Amino acid sequence: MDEQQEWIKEFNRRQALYEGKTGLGYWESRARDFSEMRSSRNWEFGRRILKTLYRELPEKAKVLDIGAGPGSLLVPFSEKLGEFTAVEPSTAMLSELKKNASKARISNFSVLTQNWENIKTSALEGSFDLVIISITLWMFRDLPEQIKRMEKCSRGLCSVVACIDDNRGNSEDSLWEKILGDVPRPSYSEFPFIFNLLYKMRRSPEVRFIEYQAERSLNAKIQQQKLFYAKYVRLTPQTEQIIENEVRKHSHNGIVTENYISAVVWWKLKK
Amino acid sequence: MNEVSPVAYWDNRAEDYDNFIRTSRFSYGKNIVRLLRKEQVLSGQDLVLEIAGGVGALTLPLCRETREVVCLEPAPNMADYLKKNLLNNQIENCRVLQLTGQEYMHQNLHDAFGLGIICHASWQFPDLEELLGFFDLSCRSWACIADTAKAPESPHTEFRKSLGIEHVGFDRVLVLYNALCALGRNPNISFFNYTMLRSAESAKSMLKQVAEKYRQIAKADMEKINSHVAAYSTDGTYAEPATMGVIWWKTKG
Repeated sequence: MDEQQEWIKEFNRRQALYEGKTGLGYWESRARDFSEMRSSRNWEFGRRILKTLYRELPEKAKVLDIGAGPGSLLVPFSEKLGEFTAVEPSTAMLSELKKNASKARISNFSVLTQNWENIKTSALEGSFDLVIISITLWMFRDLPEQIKRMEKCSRGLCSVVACIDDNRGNSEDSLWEKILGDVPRPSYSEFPFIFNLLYKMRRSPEVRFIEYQAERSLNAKIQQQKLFYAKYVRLTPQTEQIIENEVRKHSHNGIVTENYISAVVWWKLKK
Repeated sequence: MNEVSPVAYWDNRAEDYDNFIRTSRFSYGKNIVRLLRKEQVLSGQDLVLEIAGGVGALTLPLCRETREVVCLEPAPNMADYLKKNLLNNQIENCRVLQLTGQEYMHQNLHDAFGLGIICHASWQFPDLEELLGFFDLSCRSWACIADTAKAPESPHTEFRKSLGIEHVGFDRVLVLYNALCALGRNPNISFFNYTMLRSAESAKSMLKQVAEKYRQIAKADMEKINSHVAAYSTDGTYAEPATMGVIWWKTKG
């Protein structure tokens, strides 16, 4: 199997389904609910990743986080590790990140407000103990190229955190069919493509699965789902009502709690 | 190399395998156990099921780190070497049962074990789902498959190709890992390098018997084997590098 070709096929299928706002504009609109979700349960998502990678890292490790979002890793990582560089092109996400950092009294970080693909890796060569990209690699068509760019910036470890598509009892599980009928739901998961690709590149990739929960207010979750489906269809009052009803069914006291699973993949650079 | 091999084959391999494991000082078994302890998959209180324990490469290190091991080993000669190794190392917390995994599956084992493990024998289960179902039923927490990954191009793979046996082996680690992903098991995986050390005589015996699984061995083949073993032996010990893939996942127990 050619992983890259398979990946491109899935990537193109997803792209072909888009009708509305995607890319940077989409993430600008998602910043608030995303920040709420990632910071929930005392940054559980980031803490689980940190717990997995911590023993692989040197003390005061320098970290480059590609697609840092609202500080999903910055806040939990900064308590334990050293200098942190966040790559994040969305100004709304960065505003959330700075707000979250200030709340956690974190100041030893810098920000590169650019798309990762526009960053010249020669300027960052071998600068970081960990180069990590979490739930973001799916946005790239060319996985081998991104792996090489990550490796160029690292002097120790590289890591990809990938989401796993499976039904875990969340409101999203049944919504797709209700709104898009029998159109197959596109995958956002880079896994196991990324494992197979790294394995064939003889990187001996380690994989650990992490489970975590995330909480959002009912309104934030409804807003997130509307933005998500607006990528694929023009929302009508009826579809908005379907979304609201379904999300409401999964809420408790105005909070929606969801279960997720991700694969933390990492590999050491060969000396 | 990925086909079911009969008990009789392993009976004949017992001597050379024992030499490999003892010369290598149980190193890959120790590494697997160290990893499983670090990952909190193995605890000192567990009852562990090991399928196809062979001469004890993994069994002995397991016994040292857990409460008790039930070890299945159907080949009589292998089981004898295993018992001898246990005895010589004063290990008493192992029950050796001379059964195949399939034979053992028929017993009522609901939640009997904390961990089920199989190393270097997954190909004895052509139906992977049967094995997974058995682990689900009998192990309440974890299951683990360990196997040697397909080696990159090297003089050793070149040599096997020249014997006509390299092409029959697919990468079991890769295939198993992807199968477990496809079956929704969310498998963790780790790799480590190890060196297969064995006496030159044991290496010749191994290579001859592996080749004989597929075809008759001619005099010229034996000459090729002798010369390869001589080239990679120092003071009578043959060394070949390898990489172990260790896959583990939560059972539905």
